[in-house]
Amino acid sequence: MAVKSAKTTKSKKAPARKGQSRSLPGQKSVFETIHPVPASFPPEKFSAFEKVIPPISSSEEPVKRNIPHPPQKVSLESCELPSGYNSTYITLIARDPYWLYAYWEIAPSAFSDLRDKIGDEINRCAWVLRVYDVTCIDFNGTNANSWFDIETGPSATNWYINFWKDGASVCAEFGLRAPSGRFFSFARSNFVHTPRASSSWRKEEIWLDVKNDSPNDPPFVIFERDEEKNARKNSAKNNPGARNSQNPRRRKIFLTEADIRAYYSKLFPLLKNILLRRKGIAARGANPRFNLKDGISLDDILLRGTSRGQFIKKILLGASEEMLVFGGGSEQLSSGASTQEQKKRTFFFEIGTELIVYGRTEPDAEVWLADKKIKLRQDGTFTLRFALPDGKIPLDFSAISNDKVEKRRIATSVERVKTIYEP
Amino acid sequence: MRIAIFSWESVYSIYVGGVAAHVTELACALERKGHEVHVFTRLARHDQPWYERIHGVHYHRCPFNTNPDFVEEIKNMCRAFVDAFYQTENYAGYFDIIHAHDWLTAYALIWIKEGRPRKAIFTMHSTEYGRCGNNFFGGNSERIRHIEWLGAYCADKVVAVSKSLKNELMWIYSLPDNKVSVAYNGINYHNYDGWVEPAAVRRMYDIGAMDPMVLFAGRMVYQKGPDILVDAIPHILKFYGNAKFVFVGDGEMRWSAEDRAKHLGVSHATRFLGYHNGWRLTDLYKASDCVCVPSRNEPFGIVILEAWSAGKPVVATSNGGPSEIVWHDVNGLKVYPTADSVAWGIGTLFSDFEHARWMGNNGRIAVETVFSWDTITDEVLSIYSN
Repeated sequence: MAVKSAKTTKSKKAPARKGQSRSLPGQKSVFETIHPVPASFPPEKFSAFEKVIPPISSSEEPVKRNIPHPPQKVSLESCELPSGYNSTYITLIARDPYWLYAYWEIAPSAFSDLRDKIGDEINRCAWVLRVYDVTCIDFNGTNANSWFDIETGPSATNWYINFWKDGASVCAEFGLRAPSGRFFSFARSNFVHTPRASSSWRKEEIWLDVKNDSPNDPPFVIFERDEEKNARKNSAKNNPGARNSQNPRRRKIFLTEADIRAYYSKLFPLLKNILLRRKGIAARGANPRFNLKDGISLDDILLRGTSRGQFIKKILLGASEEMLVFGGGSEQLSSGASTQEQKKRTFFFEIGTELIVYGRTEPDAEVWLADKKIKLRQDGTFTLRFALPDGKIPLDFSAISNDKVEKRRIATSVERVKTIYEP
Repeated sequence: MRIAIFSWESVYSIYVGGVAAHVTELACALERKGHEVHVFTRLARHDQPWYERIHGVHYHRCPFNTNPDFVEEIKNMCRAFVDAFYQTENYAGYFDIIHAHDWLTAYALIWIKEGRPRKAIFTMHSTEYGRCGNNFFGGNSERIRHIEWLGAYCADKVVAVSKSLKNELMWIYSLPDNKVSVAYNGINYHNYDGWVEPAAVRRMYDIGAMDPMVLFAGRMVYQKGPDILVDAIPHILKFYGNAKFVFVGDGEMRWSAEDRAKHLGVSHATRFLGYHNGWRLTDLYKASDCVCVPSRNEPFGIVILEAWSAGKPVVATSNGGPSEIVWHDVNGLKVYPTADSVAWGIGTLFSDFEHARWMGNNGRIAVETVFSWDTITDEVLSIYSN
């Protein structure tokens, strides 16, 4: 296992710690107490540095006191960071795909708590940094994919960890490992994810149709290879069924339910008879297409509603056409089926209105209603008969004499208002 | 009227295909209209009673001897029918109408007509030519064609389930136009009422909730063209990569169709479920986006009515019945029986799901208007009385 100990690069920090421990002469360092430092341990090395570079901020320095200008020059070196914050934590940082960096601090209180718990065994424990590989798992402390220990010693506060795997999730704990193998953890680190050392293993292209104006499209991704994409481009014109992101085809067909019913009722030769029978009209003969009046067949009225030509006729004739067809007056312009339903009622009351306009002029003159020429009778009179629905009907008549010299204009209008008082 | 119906299958004996639904529903509807209906059919299992009255309809289940020759076995069945018919007539009185369904019961009609002449109606649900995928084969197929001709010749009136089948009959068996009438199939569309969670149904078959889903329902035989749909799958997957194709039904083409899907590399998009019926099939209809009917020859296509009852648009080939009952672009798409054309139809439906839903609703309207059994039975009764 390639674990490289981190050299404590901040050379000025180590003497400071020494000085700090010296500032408490009555108390031995916690670390020194439990773990006798070997002669070759780095702090000894640092003590050599101390002689070379004495700490500038040291109060025992007599030279600085004698400087005539008492305000000291404040430099970065004059402000010292504390070596610890008296807290227990460990932080893990992913440096690159194969390297992790951990730094930690163990508060003296955490250590003494543990000593109260396990007693003298604590002196035989090793200081270890335990590193867990927690890739793709929900880590609960015991279910790591793999783990390893790094014996750091009591005084190390940070460590560079060489991790052999890229793209992994890692977590670390700092604690004491008893000779029995039991592990007493002081702190657990955050989870880090090391980046990939190679390009992504997902090599396939993912094509997504980006549309501006069709929010209804299903949100799925289309996988396509290059040659297929080219083929699609070539065949897009030939294949109208293909989804075309540029010109989404939105067909609008305006058909009502009645239209569909009418279409399908034609499928059966007998179905029309059956439908007519159900509507209470006995169909006469085998052929239902018998004419009632003026080329209007019964199935036209029953099944297809009012055609355009009929509608115009209704407007011109008013209510009288339905009177001819069904022998009863009805003001409704809808299909005749509703007339049949009304017959079943015991009591009904209906009103229809028609408008008759009449006038006279010279027999050889011309009369216009708005832009339509009105045919005059031989004696110069004329009569117009309109359906009179609710609303206002403007009537603008003008008469022009035969020699086009005189022109008379009469404008009038008719308004109908109907109020039905509900019982 | 006292009516005798002969059929080799019914819902209450052996359920094979469209004939069973047709016969059972027709008998029920005739009974509802106040006629006495006797159905003569096969004995499916030996724990079934030979006579039973179901929903007012008299069912006579007739046992008969098996035979290695299929046509001879069918003749045995017809003899059993004739025997049961005579016994029933001796007991209950004369029948007014004898109504045989398909060539399998043609001999019953022929022999009864020879012995005790009654008004004989012969309903053809398909022709042997169509069942062979528009081919005139020899061997047993030739014998069956002969039986079909004899039945149509002896019957007083021949009923075809669609105009295209009527034309086919008139062409193959030289029937006069006035002898053949048309009575469409119907459907009990209330069976498809109600709502199911489509995602839950799809989950049962490992299909994503948003995947476009095509349903094929029918016998897996050459006539019904499942291979056409399988061949169309790559064309559709090109544009709708997560489309799924569910094949419900069994038959001799099932394994070759599966192999074809594997060969094309699209087996991940297919689900071959085998024979399903009842609520499973109904749920599949409701969960799918469209129903494909790629038949090479389809006399009527009850599948279309079932799809419409579930409110789904259809992609149907323009052969036979579908060309009459489908209104193109309003409640379904009519396509040619080729893979390209089927792919076009399905892709067109997928390109606009809103329009597809609208088409499905129109289909339901059509079914409610025309294809209810009461309407069809009125039609059949008018044929009886002509």
